[in-house]
This record gives sequence, C-alpha cells and structure tokens, in this order.
Amino acid sequence: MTTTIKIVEDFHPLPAGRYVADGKGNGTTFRDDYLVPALEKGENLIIDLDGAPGYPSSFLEEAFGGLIRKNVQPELIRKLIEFKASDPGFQRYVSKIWAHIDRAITVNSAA
Amino acid sequence: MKRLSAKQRARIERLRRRRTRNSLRRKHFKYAADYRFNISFPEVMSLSDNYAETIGPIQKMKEHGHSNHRKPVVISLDMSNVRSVSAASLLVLNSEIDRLLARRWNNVRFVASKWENWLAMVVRQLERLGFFDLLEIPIDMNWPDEFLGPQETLLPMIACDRLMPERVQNIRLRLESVAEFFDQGPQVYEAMIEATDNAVRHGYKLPELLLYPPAMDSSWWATADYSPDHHLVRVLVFDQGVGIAATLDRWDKWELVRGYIQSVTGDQDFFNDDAAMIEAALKVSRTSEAMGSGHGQGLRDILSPVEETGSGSVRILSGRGGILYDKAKGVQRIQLSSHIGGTLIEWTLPVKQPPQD
Repeated sequence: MTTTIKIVEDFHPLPAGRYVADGKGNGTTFRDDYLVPALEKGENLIIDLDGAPGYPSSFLEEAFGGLIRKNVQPELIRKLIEFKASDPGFQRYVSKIWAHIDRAITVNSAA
Repeated sequence: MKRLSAKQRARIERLRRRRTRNSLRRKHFKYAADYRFNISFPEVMSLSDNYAETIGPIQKMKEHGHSNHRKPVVISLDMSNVRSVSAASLLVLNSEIDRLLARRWNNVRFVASKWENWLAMVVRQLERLGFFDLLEIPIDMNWPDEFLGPQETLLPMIACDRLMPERVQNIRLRLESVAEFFDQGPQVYEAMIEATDNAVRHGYKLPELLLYPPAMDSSWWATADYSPDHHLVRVLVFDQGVGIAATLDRWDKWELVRGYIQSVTGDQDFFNDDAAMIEAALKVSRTSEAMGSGHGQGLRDILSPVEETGSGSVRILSGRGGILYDKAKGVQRIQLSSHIGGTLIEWTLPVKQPPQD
C-alpha cells in the first residue's frame, strides 16, 4: 500500500520549527503523527514537498533525522520513503533530508 | 438608610467624576512629568555609515527609559536634524520604543518633539514602519511623489514573542506584492524562520547578561523595504538578546568553534572579539554537516539566500561585532564601537529588472 502525504495540505501550510512549542507546523508533530505511524505499518510513503514556502533545516532535521533518534531502522526509511519535489529549488530538500538522516545515523551509532 | 439630599448626591457625583478623571490622568499621563529627557538624532541615521552617533541616542533612550525613576519619564524624540535614515536603524529604534512601552507602559511616555519640522521623507519612513502608531500620533497623509525617499517602501514593523511562520510568510508575501519581480525562491522564508527561531531559542537564554529586561522572553521584530531605484529588497530581523558570541559556548559545536579559532590564532583575545566569534560560528555551521546533534544549522540557512543564489549580501550585527557576507568577497568582519543591544540580521537581495516596454 502506498500513502501520499502532501505536507502543505495534509499537515500544515507553513512547516517550521523543531518542537511542539514552535507551533502547529513543527517537525516533531509531523514525525510522530505522520511518519512514524505509517512506517510502523510498513506503508510505502510518498512525501510531497511541493507548495510550501520553504522548509527550514530545523523542521527537516527533526522530522527526518529525528526518525533515527526514534529508533526507526535506516533501511526501513530508505525502503519505504520517496519524495516528490517538483517546485523550483525544491529538489535540494531531498538531498538535505537524506543528509540529515545520514548525520543522525552517524551520531546515533557513535553514541 | 439616610436619605441624601439632591445637593449631597450632586457633590458625591462630582467627587466620583473627579476621582475617575484623576485616575485616567494618572493612567494616561495627561499631566506634566518631572522627568523629561530630550533625545536628538543625528543627520545620518545609519548603522553602516554612522554607527556610533546612531546607536548613541538609542542607548540614551534605554538608560532613561529603563531607569527606576519613581515619577513617570517623558522621552522627547527630536529628529528635526535627520536627513537620511536606514531601515536597520529605524527597526532598532522602533523595537526599543516598543519594548519600553510594553515593559514600562505606566512609567514611560514618548513624544515626538516638533515633528512638523521633521523632513517629510523621514516622517514618511517612520509612519510606514509604525513609529507614530506606537507614539499614538495620528497621521493620515497622502504623500506626493517628490517626498519619496531612496527606500520607497518600508513595510510596517511586526513584533512577535515566539516562532511565527505566519508572520514571516506575511512579510514575504507583502514584499512580493510591492516588489513585483522579487523572486528569491524558498531561501528567504527558510532564512527568516531560522533567524527568528534563533532569537526565540537562544537570544534571551542568558538573562544575567542582558543589560535591560526584555519586552517578553523571546521577542523579535522584523520589517522589510524595497528600493525600486536600486532594484533591491532588504529584509531585517532584530532581537534584543545577548548576541551570538555570548551564546556560543552553550552550542554543542562549541569545541569546533574553539578549534577553528585556535587554528586561526592562538591569541586569547580572539574570544573577546564578537565579529571573529560570529565568523567562526558561521564557518563551523557551514562545514560541519556530519557532526553534532543536528542543531545549529540555522546559521547556514541564514546565509542561504546569498549562498545559493550567488547574489546579494547578508549583514549580521550582534553584540559588539558583526559580519558582512557576500558570495564574491566571502565574510568580512565588522567591529562595532558599542553593543548593538541584540542581534540584527539584514538580507539585501536583488530583484529582477522589470521588462522594458
């Protein structure tokens, strides 16, 4: 089964911030309420990044790098998550997200 | 119960009215205060061209406004000498007025001294920023074209006390509506969010280092302006925190910052140089991707509108120093003669030229 999550429609039109205290569009809520449940069910996920004004690093790091800190297996993330980023300048977010995940793996394995 | 005569009732009513009136007078300072301070601003109000003289009066305003006088303080602002103003200096001034009115609303009052003598262009810029709204001076004028200054459109200042992406997006949309050809992609949103996030998360975390109490625990102010003559937009975010350099030793990449500084120079004074500390933090933020907890990448996002588009510049003034970054020249340090009273981040970005008919 494949689920598509369009962030600006399904989650929040203005994604920003790391923690719940940072407002409704924060990375923690997106990770815990959208990403983790879908990954636990083993669903294939297409994350549609288009339509947002932008994605600050703090949001991306907490939402995706935070998956590793939540003990989601890196192989599972690579297997199940795909990204759609066709807005101008949005392709760089895909590489940023994988960089956040890779860094979190490095930090987690060193700890 | 004793029945009151009409005369007694009238007297009681008179006294009640007098008490109410006096209470209102006390509340709104309709009487002359004993402490009145005149603050004059210089001919050129600019943080880049005339820093000391621009910050000096704002500093005086803080000293008087935050002093513990028992009677109300009236601060009279005189800008009749001012011939040119920068958006950055106005933002720092306006935010200080906003803070004083928020913290000491019952002890401090601002008046604009002979503002009818102020240069129309200056009045217009102040009006657009919301200066006269703060001072509760109603101004409703249609400005003729000849009064247009070099920065034609200054957006009203916004003030927030937490991360508010809606406000940031609002500034971006308003900029796009005035600067029709402004199109910097998503980097401006990211940079502003990270700047305000840093202000909220780190700016006020060391209250013992704050010279004056903050308006709220995590306040920030922002504005933007558009100069059609120069095809430029400026976006500004200011907080009244302790400054970047003062918070660096709490960062999980502090050891990397120290390492960078020591690799450049073994001089211990380097740690007292705010500009050098900011430069080191930027260097670490841009080059240490694979290290640390994932925090602290905001600084890199702050540079991204310039770094990724290759145009424009970012100026960060924080504490007693700052940096100016553009892609061609890299990072240039700026030494400030006194503490700016927080952190100011200013992006200067080119807009596309409108098509010629």
